[in-house]
Amino acid sequence: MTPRIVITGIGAITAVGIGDAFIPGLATASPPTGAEPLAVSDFAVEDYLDTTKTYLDRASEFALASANLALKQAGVVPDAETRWRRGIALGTAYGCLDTMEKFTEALHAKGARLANPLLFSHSYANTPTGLAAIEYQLAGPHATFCSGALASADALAFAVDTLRAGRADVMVAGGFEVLSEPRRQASEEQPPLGEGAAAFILETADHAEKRGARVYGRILAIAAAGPSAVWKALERAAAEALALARVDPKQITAAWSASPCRRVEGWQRAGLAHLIPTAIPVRHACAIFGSTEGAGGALALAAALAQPGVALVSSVDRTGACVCMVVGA
Amino acid sequence: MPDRRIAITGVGVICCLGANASEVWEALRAGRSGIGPITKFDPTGLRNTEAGEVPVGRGCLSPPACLPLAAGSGDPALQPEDDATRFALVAATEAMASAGIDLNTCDPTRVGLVCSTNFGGATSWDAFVSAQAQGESATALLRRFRFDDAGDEIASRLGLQGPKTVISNSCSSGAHAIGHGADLIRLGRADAVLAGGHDALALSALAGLSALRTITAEKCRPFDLNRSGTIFGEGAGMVVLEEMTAARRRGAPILGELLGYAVNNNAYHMTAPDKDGAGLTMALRVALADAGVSPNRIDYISAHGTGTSYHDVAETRAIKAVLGDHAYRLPVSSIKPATGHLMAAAGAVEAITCLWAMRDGIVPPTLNYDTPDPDCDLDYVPNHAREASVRVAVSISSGIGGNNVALVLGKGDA
Repeated sequence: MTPRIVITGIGAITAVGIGDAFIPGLATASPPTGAEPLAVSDFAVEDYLDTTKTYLDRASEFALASANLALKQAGVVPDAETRWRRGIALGTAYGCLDTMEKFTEALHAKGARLANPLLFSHSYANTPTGLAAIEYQLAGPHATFCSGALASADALAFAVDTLRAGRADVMVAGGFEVLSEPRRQASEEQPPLGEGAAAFILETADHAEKRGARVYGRILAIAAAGPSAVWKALERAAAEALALARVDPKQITAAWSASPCRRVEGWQRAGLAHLIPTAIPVRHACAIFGSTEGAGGALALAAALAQPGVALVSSVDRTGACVCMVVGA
Repeated sequence: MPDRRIAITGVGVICCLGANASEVWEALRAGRSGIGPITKFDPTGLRNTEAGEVPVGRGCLSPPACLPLAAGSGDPALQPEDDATRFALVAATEAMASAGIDLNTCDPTRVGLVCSTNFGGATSWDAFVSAQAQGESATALLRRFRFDDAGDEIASRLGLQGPKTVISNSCSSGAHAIGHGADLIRLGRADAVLAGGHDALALSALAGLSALRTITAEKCRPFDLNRSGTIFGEGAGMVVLEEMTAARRRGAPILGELLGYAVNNNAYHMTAPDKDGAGLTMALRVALADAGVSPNRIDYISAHGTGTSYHDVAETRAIKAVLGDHAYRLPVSSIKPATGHLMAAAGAVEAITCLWAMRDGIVPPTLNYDTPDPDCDLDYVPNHAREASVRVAVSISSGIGGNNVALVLGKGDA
């Protein structure tokens, strides 16, 4: 029997609220107006760390803080004994672009001989995941996904598969994305851009029960489909996820989506049209958080879990490829 | 994880030693190195002005000389602009062709893709920052830098419509991509997966690695007493994975089998290895358990073998911790002095090297090995390829951030 996967901790760093302020902020959030990026405000990473850091990219700050919030809520304390059975998987489209830019600008100005090794080591896309692994003694299965708008959904899928395969007891999974000038230039997204992170503590239902953990949600199934003309992949993945979850589409009470641009948002409504009741509106994460690309799937999941019921959470990228999750709050 | 056997039915490689798999293997078994002067950018200030560059004209750097044989790629004007994406496309096209998968006769929605990269389109990134400094708009350059650029190009040009993702686990990425691709098949999410890694040499990447003193000022000599760092290279390695029974049913070439894998993290330090090799030890143990292979069945280890002072010791300790006395009875080699450290492509190309070793009964050498190190006391196949019967091989990869991956590979003939 396939082990059931539950969520026992949620850490959200968003423009509408951080940590305990996330759900109240979500309830009162209004769609952004204008093109101004939606930044996370009132955030200081020191509030979430027991150690002092010489330097952190904002992406690493988000990863460390969101993981900290999730671990604390789950009551999972860093532990040398069990570290090989605890892993982490995070997703991001752009990684630490701000530090990459600082490093490369200085390199071009001063030459290779004076390149800054500290900035360089903090510029990798997997730096935030690695730092979180060190900080919280997560030495088990480990991955950073950089698959654009699918990144955090891919990370969540990896974590679910890892737990079901018995390769870990606890997985921290989610994603992060931060605002940066290069990202603004690169983005194919419609404004406004956004930033944020969400990390989840995933474990099997049995493991959570044994340690008496409170359950905040369940991931019932995940399915993925590759590039396709407009919404066909989404239709395929959503149907597969619902079938795997053994959930009748009529049971769906909410649909959340994450996508890089409004062009794709249109596909999402069309892709789900035949599957879920039309009375269920498809809510777009970017209409609340701004477009958060790699973090979008994780933020959509956090939003979906704020309401009771069974939700379909879909992420679609610029090629039409998608990942769909069926989740229960 | 469902117990499905995973066949490897296609491979594609491009690096400084050649623009296809057979060229690269021929050079490796001949003990040739492709390391030479860096020509694609000014290397002034780097600790070493040599690297493993893909020769111009071989990596589609001079279109249309070697256009990928992919659908929709017939127009030279449609060549990918970034080196890393080109390399990935060349290797992907070769791998799919060698597997003999015809997407016109199978369901393309069941063929997935797992790419991996450390630096994305790094040459485009460098060009972007330069252009920006001069006040020029360079939005297109930045789009080419995206980590998912190569994957999207491959999926689009080859017509893959199955699950698609990109892993960036630093220099263990290519190996992890192969393990993850196998999992997608084991879980029934795809019938076949194209998986591997790619990266290109770029000033920003090499300057950073040079500043970290990962790069040697002289030759890369893994496991040698006088080792002082690695030399980087560029390229791509891709494999086609399929469920074994289905692959045999369609008459696919069985180049080998992925028996098991593991991925973990040292959770120790961002740039320094755990000197005891605890993370590597655990990765090896878990991979062997996943494969159901006892340590004494391993016939060859393709080591990560960077030539950096601490890593080579940590890797040697891990091998000895898991294999015991058997560690002294099998060949362990690193191809990095020949190819350069291929970053995200390294793990994939080294896994492919294991397949060739099993097929031909030849293990590639560790070049530039002169002086034994008491702390690295295994048989590293110094300087010359050697005949060896290899039925089970292990490929080890590690990376910045503390990532480790071990792949256990078999001949796939049982």
